[in-house]
Amino acid sequence: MEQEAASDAALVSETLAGNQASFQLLVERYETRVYALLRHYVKNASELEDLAQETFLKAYRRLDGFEGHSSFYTWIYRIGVNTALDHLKKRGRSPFASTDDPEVLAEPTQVEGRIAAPHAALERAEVARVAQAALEQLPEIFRTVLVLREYEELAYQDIADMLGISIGTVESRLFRARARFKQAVLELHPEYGADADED
Amino acid sequence: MNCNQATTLIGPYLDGELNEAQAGPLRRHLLACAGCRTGVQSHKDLQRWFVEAEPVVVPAGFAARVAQAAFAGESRALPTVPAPQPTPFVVAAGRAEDGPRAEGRLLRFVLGLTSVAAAATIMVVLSTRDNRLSEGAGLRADERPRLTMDHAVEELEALQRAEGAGIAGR
Repeated sequence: MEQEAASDAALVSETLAGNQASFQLLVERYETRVYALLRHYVKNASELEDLAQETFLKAYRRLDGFEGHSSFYTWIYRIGVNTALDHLKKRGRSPFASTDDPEVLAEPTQVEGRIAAPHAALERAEVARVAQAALEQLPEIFRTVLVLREYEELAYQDIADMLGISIGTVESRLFRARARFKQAVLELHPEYGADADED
Repeated sequence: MNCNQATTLIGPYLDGELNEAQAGPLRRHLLACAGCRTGVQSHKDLQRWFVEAEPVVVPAGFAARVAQAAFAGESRALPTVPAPQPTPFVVAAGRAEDGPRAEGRLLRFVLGLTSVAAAATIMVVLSTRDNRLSEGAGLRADERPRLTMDHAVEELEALQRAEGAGIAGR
């Protein structure tokens, strides 16, 4: 892991020295992760490619600001998340305007009812589709922490560093995001409620 | 620990984010509280919804295209990696400085440097010359007649002649 970080640092240095091949290696190393992250924000393939390219080009332009305090992975993720959120704002697709703060809005933290685990007979693609539809109902800050934690399996500290918030805020957002996700699934698909399952 | 506290800790606990000092009391609470154990199961059920639909497929040649775009359109490209067609707003703007104005500045710089070097050389020569005169005056090295083979032979012959005349006079 440490060696991987060292290799990233070397590739960054070589890129800064004008080596295009080194930058290409960096992109190849992280393109799959960046694509996986960004596809939680956009669906269209060409839109996804544009966002991924924009993410890496922004990273290139800011490369001399990468100080190596965090891993390149979390650094490029932060750029990717910001690029995706900017994109959604421009497209007017964010459920909340930038001045709204969903964390101070009245919202349930305890949702009535439970959702069951996906039934074994449910195809993986259908499970993913239901989850994605529920995620799209969430304010961006909640969607982002859920994506980073549940799909990308980042540690709280990495999420905090990436989003520039405290670990306590990460915990709080995750708690609320899970409650909102549960609520969204139950609203979209009441049949997946645990009570419905038990009946 | 009460149920409200336990509820907020279940997520971080299952995420592996609690240290033992936090996890220990939670585990003890869970052993005693069936309602919170249900909360743990509910959390696990929720997490099973977060699955990726299909593997990520990155278009072929994506990295090469991105790298090419980055280096074609950025000022970071160094002179050792010249862009074949510099973009007008970055590289070309930099090269506009390399026109006649830049050449004029370079010429002035070289001429100035040459003048300074010439002045320094003259000063060194003068300084060395003064030192040599002063040292030479003390040592009188430059006033000694130069001894050559011809002079030596002439002096020897003169001595022999004088010696011969002396002997003859006795």
